[in-house]
Amino acid sequence: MELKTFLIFLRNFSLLILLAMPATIFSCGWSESYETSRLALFRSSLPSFEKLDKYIYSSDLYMNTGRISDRDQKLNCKEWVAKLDEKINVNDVYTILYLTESAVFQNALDSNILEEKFKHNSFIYALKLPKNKAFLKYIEIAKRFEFGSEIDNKWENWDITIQNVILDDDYPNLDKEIAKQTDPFLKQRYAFLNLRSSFYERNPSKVKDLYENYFANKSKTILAEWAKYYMSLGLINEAEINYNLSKVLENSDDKANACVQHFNDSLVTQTLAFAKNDIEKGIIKSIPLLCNPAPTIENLKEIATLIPDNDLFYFLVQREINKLEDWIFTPKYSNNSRSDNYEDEKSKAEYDKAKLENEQKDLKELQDLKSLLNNVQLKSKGQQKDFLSSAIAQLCFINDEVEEGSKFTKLISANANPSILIQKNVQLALISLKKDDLKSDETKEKLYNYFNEIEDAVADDSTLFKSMYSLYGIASEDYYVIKDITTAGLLFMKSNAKQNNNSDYYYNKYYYNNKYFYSYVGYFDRNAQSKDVDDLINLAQKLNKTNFERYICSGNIAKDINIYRDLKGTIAFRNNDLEMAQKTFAEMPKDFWKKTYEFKNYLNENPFFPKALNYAVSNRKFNYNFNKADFVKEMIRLKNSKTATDYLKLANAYYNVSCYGNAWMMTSYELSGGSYNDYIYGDSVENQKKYGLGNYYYLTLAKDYYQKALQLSKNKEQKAVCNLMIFECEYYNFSTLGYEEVNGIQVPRKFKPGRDIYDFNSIYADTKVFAKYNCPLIEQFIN
Amino acid sequence: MKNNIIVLFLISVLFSSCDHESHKVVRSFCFWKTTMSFDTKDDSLAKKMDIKHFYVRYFDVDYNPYRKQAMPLASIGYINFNDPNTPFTPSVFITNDVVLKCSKIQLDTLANRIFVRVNVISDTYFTQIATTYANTIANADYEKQKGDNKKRLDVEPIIAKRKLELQKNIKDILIDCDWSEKSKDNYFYLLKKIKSNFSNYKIEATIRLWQYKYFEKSGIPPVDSGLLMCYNMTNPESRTTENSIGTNNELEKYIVHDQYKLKLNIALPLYSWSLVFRGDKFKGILSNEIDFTKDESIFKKTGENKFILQDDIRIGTMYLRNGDEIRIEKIDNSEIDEMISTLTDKIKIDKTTRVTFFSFDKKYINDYGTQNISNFFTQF
Repeated sequence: MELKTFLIFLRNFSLLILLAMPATIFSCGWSESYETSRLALFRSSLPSFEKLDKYIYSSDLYMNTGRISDRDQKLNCKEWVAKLDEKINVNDVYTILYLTESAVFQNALDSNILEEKFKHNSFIYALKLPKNKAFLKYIEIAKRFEFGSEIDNKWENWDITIQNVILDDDYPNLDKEIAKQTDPFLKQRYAFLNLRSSFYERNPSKVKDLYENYFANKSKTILAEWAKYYMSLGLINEAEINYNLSKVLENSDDKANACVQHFNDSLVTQTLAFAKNDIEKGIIKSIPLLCNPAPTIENLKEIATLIPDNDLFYFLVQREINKLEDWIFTPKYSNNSRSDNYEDEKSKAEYDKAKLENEQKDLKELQDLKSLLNNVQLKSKGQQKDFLSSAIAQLCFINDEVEEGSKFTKLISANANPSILIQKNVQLALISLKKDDLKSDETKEKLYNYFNEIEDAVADDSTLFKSMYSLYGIASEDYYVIKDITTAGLLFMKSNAKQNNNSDYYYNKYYYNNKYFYSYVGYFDRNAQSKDVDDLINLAQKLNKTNFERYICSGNIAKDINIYRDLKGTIAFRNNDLEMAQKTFAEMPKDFWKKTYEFKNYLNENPFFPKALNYAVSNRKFNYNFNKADFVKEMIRLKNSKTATDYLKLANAYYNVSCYGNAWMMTSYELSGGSYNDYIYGDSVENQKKYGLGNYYYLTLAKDYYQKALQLSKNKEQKAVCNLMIFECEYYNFSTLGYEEVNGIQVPRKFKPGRDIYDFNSIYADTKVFAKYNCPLIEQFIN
Repeated sequence: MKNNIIVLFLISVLFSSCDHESHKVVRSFCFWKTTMSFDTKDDSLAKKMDIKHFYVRYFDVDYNPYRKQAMPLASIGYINFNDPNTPFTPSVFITNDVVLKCSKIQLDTLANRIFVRVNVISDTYFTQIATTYANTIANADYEKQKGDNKKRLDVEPIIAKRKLELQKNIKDILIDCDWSEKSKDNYFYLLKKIKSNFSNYKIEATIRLWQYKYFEKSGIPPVDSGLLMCYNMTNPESRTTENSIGTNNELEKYIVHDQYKLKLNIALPLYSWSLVFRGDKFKGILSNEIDFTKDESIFKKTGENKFILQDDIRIGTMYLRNGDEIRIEKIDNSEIDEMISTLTDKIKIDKTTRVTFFSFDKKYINDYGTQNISNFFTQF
């Protein structure tokens, strides 16, 4: 069976739990990817981290944030602005250079409609000036070289059998173009076109010559970094390639990922021989750590001495904290099934011992890292100082050191970058959840503001959904602890929805298309009492909701309030409070159970005829006009009349509202556990065992009333039915209990039929009931 | 005699007072996706509406500035009508840029290339069906034979014969181009060339509403028939647009005369979409799989077809923010009824007139309902 993470709720501060994972069904049950269930709240970053997005700690091979840094491209645009006219809008340059398809540009140029096609584009206007003719020509040629290499190239061949477009050979001669240019800016750009083409034509010596002549030790341009990347890959000495790549990684976002991928980790020592200073050494030593999934605290200590103020060090710190969150939080707050699946105690004990050792090791690393960061922070400045405050605070929270964590959170300055401020919001929300009065409006308003800030941030980075759903899950659990089930449930649903937001498929499939009846009541079905449902109805109908209330209700409240009334009545019915159940159901439209959810499919048979005896009925009817209010009203009447006939009818009703009956939906929204709902909302079996004072699983009330009817009845036929049904109740009860412990070993129970079935088979053997319901199986039980 | 005259007079008054005479038109749908794989459900939908014909987009043609010539793109990868005897019209979309930029010689080449490509695509489709058909016959024949000297039928003649039969499903070719006054001469030249290449087929050209209204400027294409496209009437990206797919008010602005000297078939819209605006800025198009009426706490209805978001949500790849406006564009049944009335008032309809809906998509067909769509056809 696929591993399944059963979540447990530990009621202390560090309730970093995942409450409902986007689930996938495998062959034997529901499961989720580890990347989804992995806990991670720390996402503080520095602007330069974007180029390393793929190396954010992930249980997948690489993190996919959906972002691609365009810093290099913008630098290139700025170089164009600086060259042509400072009044040109950088975004206009970007539009032409990076967002315009080659063919579109060329078509507009050929038709002399550039200004019309790119209305209000200051770069185009500048290029069209006679003095800038050479620059326009360059753009035309550069676009020409890009044609065919564009990712979404749409062109096909007239010859339908040829898949790719055959390009012409009439490319401009770039050597001649370079020679023609007198302007160093254009010369360098043509040289870059030439260098890149030569690289793809596998001509490394030409690449090297072009690099040496036009980029090495020349004016600083982002093109030089790109050129160095292409040149490096043509070198023979692999350590030298590594060294050059480490230099490009430092200065270019566009080539960063390619540099890490090409870097040969096994040649670090040889590469260090090229390094000229500590910074270069620090970067070379850092690169292999970008893909290292193991603890790297010892390496970090060394790197901190070499490059304490280099952003690469800070990126590795973020990775390390995410690892600790994974190793410490995930096994601690999600009951990892690895330990549960051990069938023998010895292996389980060994694993538990190892788990404890690992925990201690991880906590030691956490303390080591905290101590290292404390030391580095003493000398840090600006954004890096804020980053470290945020990081140390997070390490404190992982280790339940709330007071110390609060101090570091407070150190984060108001002008820290947005990611650090978001982290601060997460941390302030955590502190508030632990320390403030959760019932007060002031706290709720504070929480609303923290949540709102995070919502805004998610617009730019969808990976923050992880922080979001983790936080809402924690908040839900804290409200559960103070018995505010309404808030807890709605926050739970928020967490669930945000987790679904994390995946397009689940968002569409389950959150919207399939947002169905049970999703509105699932949490409350398992955790609420009637009073809680009253609170929920009151909140749903409240006109002037606070910001917090409006937020938690948004998307989580069913339009039809009767859905909640049905739940309230069902909870009362489960508690055998028939009067409250009847009163609640009576407030609902009579046709509700005909029109809603699955009621029409499962509440459609006569609830006063026990389903167990259907084997003798030739023509079952499924057209019973079921109204819960009327049904419960009749049960109350039967209960109060105290005659044998009515007790028998009541016993039948109790039989049918059990999980074996034809009206089980009076008591439960799902027949038994193990469903997808159990996966989302938690195991319901233990709750179900208590439904109807045990009647739902163990037929306690049904058997009780059959026995009462048997005692009171003077009618032999009635007595025969009572005997038969008491046997049925006992037998089903036996099948539910399954195993028993004999001498410390679980063994299958043996069914010992009571007196009733012997009486049925002997005293009542001459009744019509016996004639109709007797079957060979009964005889087998007796014998 | 006097009485007879009165009766005749009354009959003529009665007939002349009718708006138009209702005809049994050829019921058609457009299929504009890049792969076609009809299943029994698609067939059943088509049967329910008594669809007798399809327009199938084969490929587009755009001008490639580096090759300095027109080139194809977005070709249909696969065609499969569940019912192989379905009549259809291969369709080719040509951008106006192509006709503007190509020389006469290039247009000659283009006409030839279109001819070859259309035939290759059709032939691939027919060969595939005919081969399956021939193999079924050959296999059955082989199974029937007894003894040791079983002989397999030569399938080639069966394939060839079946292909000949299937080719009869295609009687015409549709050329789709939003030509301008400037490109008119080149385009009409191209059409003539295409027509002479496809000598065994009729040629049809799409006619935009403006081309219909200002036919004196835009000219009338030298083809056998025109397909009048009665949709995409206004700019969808403007927040103030009522319904960019079309309204009868908008249609009436174009269908102002009955002087168009070409047999016209009619294309009407059968799709819908939802457009998102942030302030006045167009943000994108949402698919219609979301029922905005389902959750008032997120989608607050502010108009007949408008909703304002009450919360931030992510839908597919779009992240929508609280305050964003969603405009659902769909032409309702009564609007289509009115459009049909406007069209039949000015355009000659007979039993050979094709009325086609853009486009064949289960989602939209189920949304409108097959009965309603059938009713649209009967109103012509």
